[in-house]
Amino acid sequence: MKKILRNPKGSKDWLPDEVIKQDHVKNILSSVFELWGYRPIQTPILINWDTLQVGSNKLSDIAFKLIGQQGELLGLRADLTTPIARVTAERLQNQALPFRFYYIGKVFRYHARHTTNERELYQIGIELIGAKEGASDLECLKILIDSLEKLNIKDYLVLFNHTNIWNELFNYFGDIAKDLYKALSQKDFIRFNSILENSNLSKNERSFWKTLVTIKGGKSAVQDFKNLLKKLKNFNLTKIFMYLNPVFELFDKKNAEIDFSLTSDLDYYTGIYFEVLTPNLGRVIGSGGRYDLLITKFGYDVPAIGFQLCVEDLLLVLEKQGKVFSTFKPPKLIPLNKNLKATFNTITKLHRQKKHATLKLT
Amino acid sequence: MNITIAIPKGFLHDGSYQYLASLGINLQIEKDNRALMFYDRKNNIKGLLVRPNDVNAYVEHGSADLGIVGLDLIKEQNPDVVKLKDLNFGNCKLVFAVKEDSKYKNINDLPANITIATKFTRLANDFINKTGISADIIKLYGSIELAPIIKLSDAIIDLVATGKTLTANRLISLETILESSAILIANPVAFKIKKSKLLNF
Repeated sequence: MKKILRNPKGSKDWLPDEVIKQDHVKNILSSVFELWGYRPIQTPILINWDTLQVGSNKLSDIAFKLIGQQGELLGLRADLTTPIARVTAERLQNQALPFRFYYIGKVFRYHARHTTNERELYQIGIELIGAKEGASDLECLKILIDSLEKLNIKDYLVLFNHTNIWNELFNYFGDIAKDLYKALSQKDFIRFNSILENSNLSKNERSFWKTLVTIKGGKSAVQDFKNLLKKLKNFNLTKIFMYLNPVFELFDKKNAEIDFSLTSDLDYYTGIYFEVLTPNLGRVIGSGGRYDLLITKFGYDVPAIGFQLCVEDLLLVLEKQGKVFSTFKPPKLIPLNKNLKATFNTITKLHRQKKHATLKLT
Repeated sequence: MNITIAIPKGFLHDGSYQYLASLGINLQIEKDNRALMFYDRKNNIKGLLVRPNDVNAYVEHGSADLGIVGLDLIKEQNPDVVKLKDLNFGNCKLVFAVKEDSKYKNINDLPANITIATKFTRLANDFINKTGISADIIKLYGSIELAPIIKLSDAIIDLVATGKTLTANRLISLETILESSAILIANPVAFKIKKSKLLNF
């Protein structure tokens, strides 16, 4: 028997019925993005290794590395934000800002996820480039929420936090806050508590940290956090609270909540960052945030914000919700006439009426 | 059901039930199921009875919100889960052991190219790398103590609670690799969505 050759580990084929489902998600999202004035952009899958490394250490650690014929180091893109930052700096420096881009494309990672073996995933998302922190953050969040609602993702939750909250905690507490942050990003509360127990923090400071990790929610969570801050001396976050006011005004009823102990998945965020959860899937289905320094690393000093959603995960969630996708409509089969031209004319006529028709082949 | 919790069979089973009982949770079998699912209707909690090796998988994939699992299996399987709390029961040690009458009294005495039988291949590899001993690993799924007796391996890496099994098989521990106990873990998404509830555990 002939040996069947298979795909490499972690890659998969999309057969026609599955592509129809994928298109459903892509079409809904691209129409949301286009209504908001976003334009599609594409970048190469193959990129220079340097580009990958400039972008993010966390991503270059899990990226595919390739060697070109001349020995040059190349990689497969592991996200789409990094190549879009690169093309913006390389080709778009003298154009009017802001840029509103959206993308749909595959990313490649040795370990795309912890829980599955996938090594290539479709990401879909937006980048809003050239607008500083403020209304543009609200636009980005609004588009994210519009996207989830248009897709009919049930009971979604957008959790967000701001890097300056952590930066202020690092300034105030020093190294111990960095250790605590690390424990939280490793999801290790046992370590988090043991760092606190073995520290020389005051009783008030310890209770500050223990309460901090429990605060999550809408406007009331901000009030809880303000009350909690009274435990600390001279710790001021007025600017952040001013920033958060309009966020809650717009999205308080929209399943968007602040989580003060949320850590960021990527190392390039410089402002608000967020992630999307649903009770139907045990992992985050999308994330995003402000990354004002990333494009600067490629030689163009412009601020930016964006988000990405994982198409495979959105499909899984929709299927778990019981969504029925439209299926393939078989075309009308036209028998071969001796006069092939007449047969093709019949088919063309049907096509003009937007009817599906094709040759009946035996 | 509001909260699903994966409970291991075996060594940690009784302790898990006692821990849940201390929180006022009483999981009962209901008829028409194969005694793999248990319910506490009053508290809206469902229990899944699973193999200790599988707790991480149920929780990591979100089929259970919470799980009780030994630290040894967390370190061995390295799942993407929230480590919530050390429950301080089910204490045991992962040890490197050789035959009692072995001439090796210390891991530094070991010759090159020994073989180690173990269930814990990741932890065994970490141990080999950390100590710099040169060794080959044989993966077994149970009765690890048998391996050195019948000369399948020179040493074993295995869990001991009281040390009785080691003594009964005339083995002696040369080094403790890990102190383990039962850990409460949570699925990362469930932890965020049901935070206030899960923090009561």
